[in-house]
Amino acid sequence: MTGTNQPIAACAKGVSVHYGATLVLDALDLQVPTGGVYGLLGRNGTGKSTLVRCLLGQERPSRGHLELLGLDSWRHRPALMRRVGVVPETPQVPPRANADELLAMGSRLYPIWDVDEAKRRLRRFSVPSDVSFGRLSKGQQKQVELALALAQRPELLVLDDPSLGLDSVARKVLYEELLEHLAESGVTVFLTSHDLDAVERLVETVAILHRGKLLVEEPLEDLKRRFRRISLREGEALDSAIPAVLQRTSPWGREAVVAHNLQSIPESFSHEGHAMSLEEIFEALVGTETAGGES
Amino acid sequence: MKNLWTVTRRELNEWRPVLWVSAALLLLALALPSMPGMARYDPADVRASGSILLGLLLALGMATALGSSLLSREISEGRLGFYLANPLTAAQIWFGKVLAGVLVLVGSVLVVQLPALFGGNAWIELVSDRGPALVDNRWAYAGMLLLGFLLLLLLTHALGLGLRSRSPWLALDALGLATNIFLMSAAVADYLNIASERLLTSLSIWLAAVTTGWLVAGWLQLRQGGADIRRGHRWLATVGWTITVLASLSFVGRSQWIQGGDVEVLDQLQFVSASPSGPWIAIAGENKRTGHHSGLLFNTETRTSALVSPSIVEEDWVVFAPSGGTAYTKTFEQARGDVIEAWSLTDSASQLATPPLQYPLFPQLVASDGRIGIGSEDRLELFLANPWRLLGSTRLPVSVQNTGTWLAMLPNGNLRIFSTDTQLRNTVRVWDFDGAKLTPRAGWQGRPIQGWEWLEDDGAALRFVSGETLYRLAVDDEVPVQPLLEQGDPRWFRYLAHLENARLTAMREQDSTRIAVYPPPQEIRDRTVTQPTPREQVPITVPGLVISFKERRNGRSALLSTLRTQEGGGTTLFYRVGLDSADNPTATEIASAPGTLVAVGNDLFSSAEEIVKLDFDSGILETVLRIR
Repeated sequence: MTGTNQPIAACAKGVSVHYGATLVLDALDLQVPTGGVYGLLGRNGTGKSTLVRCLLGQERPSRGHLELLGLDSWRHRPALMRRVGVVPETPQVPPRANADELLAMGSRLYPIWDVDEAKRRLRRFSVPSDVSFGRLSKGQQKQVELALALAQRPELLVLDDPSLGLDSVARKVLYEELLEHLAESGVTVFLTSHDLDAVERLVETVAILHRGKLLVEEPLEDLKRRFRRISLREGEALDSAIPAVLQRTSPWGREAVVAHNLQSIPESFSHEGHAMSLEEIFEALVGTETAGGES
Repeated sequence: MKNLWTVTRRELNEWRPVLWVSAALLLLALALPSMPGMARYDPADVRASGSILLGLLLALGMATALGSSLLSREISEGRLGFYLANPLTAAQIWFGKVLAGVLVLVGSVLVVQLPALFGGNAWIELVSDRGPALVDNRWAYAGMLLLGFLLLLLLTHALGLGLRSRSPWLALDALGLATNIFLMSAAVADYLNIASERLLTSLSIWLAAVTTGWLVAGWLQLRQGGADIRRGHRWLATVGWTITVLASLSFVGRSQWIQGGDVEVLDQLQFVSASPSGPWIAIAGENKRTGHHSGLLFNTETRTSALVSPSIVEEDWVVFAPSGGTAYTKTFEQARGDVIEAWSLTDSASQLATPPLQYPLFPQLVASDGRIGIGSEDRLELFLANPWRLLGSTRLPVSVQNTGTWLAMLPNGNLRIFSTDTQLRNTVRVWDFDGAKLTPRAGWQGRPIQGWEWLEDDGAALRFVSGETLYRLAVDDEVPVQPLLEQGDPRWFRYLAHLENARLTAMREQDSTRIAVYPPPQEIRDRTVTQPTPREQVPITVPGLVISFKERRNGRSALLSTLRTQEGGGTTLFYRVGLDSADNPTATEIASAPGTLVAVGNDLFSSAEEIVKLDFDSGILETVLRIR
């Protein structure tokens, strides 16, 4: 876990969510430090979107407590939404609305609303502001939603799998836009995504959600330092002091993924195995089971 | 409010295409006169009628469509986040959406109504054809119509959310809907039956309460459920149906309250009749709860009463058996038609002795011996009450055309029919039915019978009005018809008095009372009833026959009239006590029983109404019931 004294932008304490007999989130704890990008990873159906909805005060957890920017997210949702920008997983803007109307609507609802900047952003990506949302391409729709989310100059930006359904070019454009904005504003970003390459480039803290619980929540660098892939020769056994996350046999021989506690990394650890990408770590932790449906 | 209106504007934009539907229906209404078969009607009226019909259909369709997609579709499709991710409270989102729904509904319907509002008289005729109540309360009706469509919108929303949530609380929706349909249909039927005038108020309150309940429930659904459709549905169903059931139970309770009550429900006493023996009298008067005439059996000894019916329609709604142990009542209910019941009376209690005998809107007569005569257009039936037994039945002759008051019950057990001959229109035919066969009794030239009254003291005669003439008709004579008084006003025919050794009858003209005494030698006297004058006592005397006096006090004038006769030795017999208020001269009624006389009238010097009982021997006048 983060274990730092940084101010917290968002946190969850003992959050459980039941849908009938189905347990989606199980006594989950989470802390999003202020500043930087926090990435929440998880396979389909692990409860990422449910957690985002709870975090945004759109859904009340069965048990537990969530805070955004120091306020109870369920009780203070309307006030919090003046400080939080949201780009949802699937488009939620009414299909008949166009960007002009939405920007005008935002100017009536938000104390700070930068219409000019939003329009510039849309023009930069050739998104027509007078065409109804339902007639725009998926990439254009995402740009509209991002423009709306940023127009209020949020303290916290929540991006729920923003690249879902986008082609590689649109995805690249979206993340570049995001990086540019982050560089300018220093806003806290809470990001969920299946695009692990992009996450790896963007995030500073990463959490992996599995079966309703967080398996890891720590700075990305720490995570990557802890995990190693080790090739095993025939008959060779793992050091019992090093816990194996995964052992498998590939066409190239036997290998294991091991994870150390950062406080007790042996001297030889960095030389014993291969460094792993975030995607490899993610697969090693949660990739052995059949995917479920998104919740 | 600004945020709420922002939501409303957004929703109005979303529903903009509805205007095209309205415009299309408007064009259809305008084009209706050119449709095949419409050429023979006034084009303006066709357009107006068409637009009303299309507007109502559109309102129904729009309320359903708006309700089903008000919120539930957005939640189930995960699009509610659009609003929830903005700084909008649940109340602003919910009420903003509902306001938009109402505006879309009203606006789209008004567009279609243009031909009816600015051309043709369809709306005016629709309203005026349904009587002054609808005209007087047109805004209340318009409000109810709007509330009704809003409720339909909200209920469709609840149903849509329930179906989309697939939660177990859908069972509560089904239960709530079924319970309310059951409660309300029964209660509305009761209202229509006995107090339709009160229905508008009660239904308005119910509609307002239930609509408010569902508005609150929808707000709580969003406030407590957020984007969680199941939690939201649980709140919506629980709060919505709880308030609806409570409102419906209140509606039913009010309906029961209106139907029930004691003598205190009477606002104005109108009819009274006394049992030949025993303490019971029957009272009828205007019921302040129902707005109709109600009938009660009242015990003058114990001062207790039983409400026989919240709605009676005739003056002669009750007949007492000679023993005083049974009362036969005839009441009317919209749903059941005429209802005849037998009541068992003891010195202290009354109870329904028989299940009701129901006949839909047929002339019925009840005799003091429990015989019930029922006549329909082509059939006569004679029943015995308590227990019910059919004594006889016959088909009426083809030549019989029943007009006016055409059925009479004779003391000899027969039913008598006064009918107009279908061939000779100026001929009145009289038939008697003894339970076995129909026998022609008499026929004469004259106008149809307008009303009749059995002359108890005469023993064998009916008095009846035909045209402006009052006749006496013997029961058994072959030449029975005897004119008593001509050129009178048959509406005053019932204000009559009977003397012991002579029969007195009277009819009233505009300012005078015309009195006849029979049997022969007949004596007919005309006497003018003068207007009351302040604080004076002026006897108007027909020697040996009528004395009356009048008095005025505290700005209210009253006429106390007493009919009495002096028979040898100065014995005085009272036959009528009427407390005639100048403000309400018709609020008097009288009934006599051996040795006593019961009268209803306004208290002389207050606004109260009272029933007084006069003891012939002592001459003491006792108030047994006072209302207001």
